[in-house]
Amino acid sequence: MSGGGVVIQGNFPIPEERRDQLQQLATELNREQLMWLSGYFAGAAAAAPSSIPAFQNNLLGGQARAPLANAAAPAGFAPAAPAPASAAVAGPSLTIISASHTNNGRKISEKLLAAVQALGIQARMVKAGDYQPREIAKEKLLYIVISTHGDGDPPDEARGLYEFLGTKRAPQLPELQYSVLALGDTSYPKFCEAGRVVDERLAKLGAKRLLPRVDCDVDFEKLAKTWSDDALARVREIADKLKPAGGAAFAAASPVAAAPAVAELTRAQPAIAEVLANQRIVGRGALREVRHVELGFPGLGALYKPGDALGIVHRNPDSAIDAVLKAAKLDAAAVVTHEGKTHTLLEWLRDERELTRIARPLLVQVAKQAKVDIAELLGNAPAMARLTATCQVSDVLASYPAEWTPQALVEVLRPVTGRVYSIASSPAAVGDEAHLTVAIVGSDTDRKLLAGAASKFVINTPTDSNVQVWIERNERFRVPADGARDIIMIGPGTGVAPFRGFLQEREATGATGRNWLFYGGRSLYHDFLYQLEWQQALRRKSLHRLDVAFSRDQAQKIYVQQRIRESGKELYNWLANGAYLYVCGDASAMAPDVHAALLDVVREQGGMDADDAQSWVADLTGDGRYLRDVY
Amino acid sequence: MSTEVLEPPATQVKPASPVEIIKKASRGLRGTLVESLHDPLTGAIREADTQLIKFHGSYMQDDRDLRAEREQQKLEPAYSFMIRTRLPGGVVTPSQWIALSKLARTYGSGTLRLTTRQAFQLHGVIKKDLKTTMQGMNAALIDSIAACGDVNRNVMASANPVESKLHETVHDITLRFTSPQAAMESISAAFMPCIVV
Repeated sequence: MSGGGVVIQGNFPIPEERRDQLQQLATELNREQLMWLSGYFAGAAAAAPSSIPAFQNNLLGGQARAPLANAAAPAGFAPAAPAPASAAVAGPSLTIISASHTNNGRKISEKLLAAVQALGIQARMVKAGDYQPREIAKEKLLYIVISTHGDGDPPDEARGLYEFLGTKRAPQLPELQYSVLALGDTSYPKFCEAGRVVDERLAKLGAKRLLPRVDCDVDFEKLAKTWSDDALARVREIADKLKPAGGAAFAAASPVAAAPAVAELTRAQPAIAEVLANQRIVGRGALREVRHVELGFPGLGALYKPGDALGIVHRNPDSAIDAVLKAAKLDAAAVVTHEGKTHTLLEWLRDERELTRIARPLLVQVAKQAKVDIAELLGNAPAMARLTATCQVSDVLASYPAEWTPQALVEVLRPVTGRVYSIASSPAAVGDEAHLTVAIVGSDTDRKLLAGAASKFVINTPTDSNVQVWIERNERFRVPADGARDIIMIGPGTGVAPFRGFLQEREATGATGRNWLFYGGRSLYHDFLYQLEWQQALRRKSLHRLDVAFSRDQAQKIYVQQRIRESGKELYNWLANGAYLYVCGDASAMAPDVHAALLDVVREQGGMDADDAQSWVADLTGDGRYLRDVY
Repeated sequence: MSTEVLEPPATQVKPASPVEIIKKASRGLRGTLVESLHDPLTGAIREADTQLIKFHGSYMQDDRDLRAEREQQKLEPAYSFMIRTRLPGGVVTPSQWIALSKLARTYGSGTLRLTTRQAFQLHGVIKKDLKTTMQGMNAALIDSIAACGDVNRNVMASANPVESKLHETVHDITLRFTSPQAAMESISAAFMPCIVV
């Protein structure tokens, strides 16, 4: 088969003499050779800087958005500089998603994949369980083979994608062409329901059907074959149509929307974000509740980087406000002007004042108002500690009854300080969303007295509601600028949050360095935060090593520092080879213990005395390779 | 001189089933059970090992009622294991029953199930407790070897020796299988080392 007859027309960016060479090449090479070349040039283009800004934009955008194009360069082709995973794809790229409990669906998908690839067309098959629902925004050509179970349910592995397509977060898909093959059993009332729903959801999102959906009964073979044959034919037509366009495939790539200019967000000037998800991510047996929260608004992705934290402007709960009003015997409707702001007392107490934490100055002020001498209490450290740990503002007001005016109360109370949470996502992976991992303070049985107002607020903020947010930059806590560096991340409990973002970032940007995570929790079964995601990352080889310590899974408590000591040799080798070390989480016990373990490892593995180990680690810090975000 | 190679007609060779392929490659039903049991990142064992562990008397299961909920929680399914004993003739002594009962309370769901094939089943044993539970059974001179999988199973019949002369004979024979020596031999049988890790 010859690729002859290619006519190069229109605005052609290549000099005349080269054009003739290209024309000649195009006539002499066969179809497979031309396919190979298109990949070759795409890889070379991605590695070379562009003189055309629009091209640069496209490529940069593609980097963040098209990690699936790995196969763009033909096998055996090694460009001088490694082409980023984003190398633009010249020609169509088909994705086949197989979602089926039984092997039937997978076999149909595999057969179709082989037939498509035999035509020299780029294609991949993904099991629904390994498919990140958000990837769908990048697909142009998609076939889905999906079975239905029980009462019209999708297979478990496809549940994520299935539900995602039905939420308002599902992206519009005007460029997607697709078709669904549904497998089912007519003896159930909701025959092929999952396939029908997916088909309709995709159409509703603006995607175009390449072929009408086919619903198969238990004797699926004949219908499945017809659908597969048609599916193959349609892909071939599209490939043939695109083929002569050559470089035009670039131009067809969707332009990257310029990020809207948004000013830096602060607590005083927050932005309004929508709560896209707010779900418990620990099992039923977990002692402490942890929630995964996803927030979003247009432009959010441009405002943060992995390592940053996000603050939520919380409202104090009605119960706390009522308790304060009752203790001070004041009316919620009273109007108070303070420091240039005028609100009702209710608004002051709800939005502007701290009602949870008690600080020494507050206590002094309240005692003064109540005309009580508390010098003795202030001098008694244990009593003070107990008081601040177990009492809230309303308790203090009740303990020292006084005549309050609304004005005096507002002046005495501390301005609210927002709670900030490490962001657990990367814009390169989630776009204009930010994810948080929030431990609910107060769900510990032994600390139920002090229900953190912010935690409570997070629990009571359902999906689809709005919250005010701002970003706290953390420039010191970033993935290495050089993606080839290895990183070691130590993040037990919710300390793991930024590392989920780090891994997303490194994966999306095609960082070649290895990623090693230490995680610690109480139990493998109940609080292995993001367990499924880590397992998938290990399978994808984007996470290279994961060491875990679950303190309550055996008689002796085990923490991450023990795992660090056990892996001392490798850890030291990684660091000696230039790896970055990150620690995130509890500052009071975990961080010092991890630091001590690190010193031991360096001393033993480096054959140093304590002083040398100390200065070796100090150098690591000085190099900016030992970074901590502890609180 | 020429040698003639005889090949069976291709049409008559049925391809081996997936399970047969796993068994054949398993080094005497060992597979990667040791690695699976030591993997700290999951409560499950590897897919091929889920077939092999049956021959050691255990099935991997998961709580179906929690599947969707745990997926939402970004957690893997709640995996646990069922261990089935293999009792020759269905004979069990009171002290053995007490031992099984204790194991079920300590490591299992707290129930003991009696099967039509005269075996006991413990459910809900999580991966890290499998070894201890099986060792506990062995200490009571009970084992689970070949209690599941495609092997010959116990015959379904009454174990009452007074039922008939034949019953009595069978009962006498079982005593030989339940002797301390027989149990110890079975513990050291070829494939046990991979469970007793």
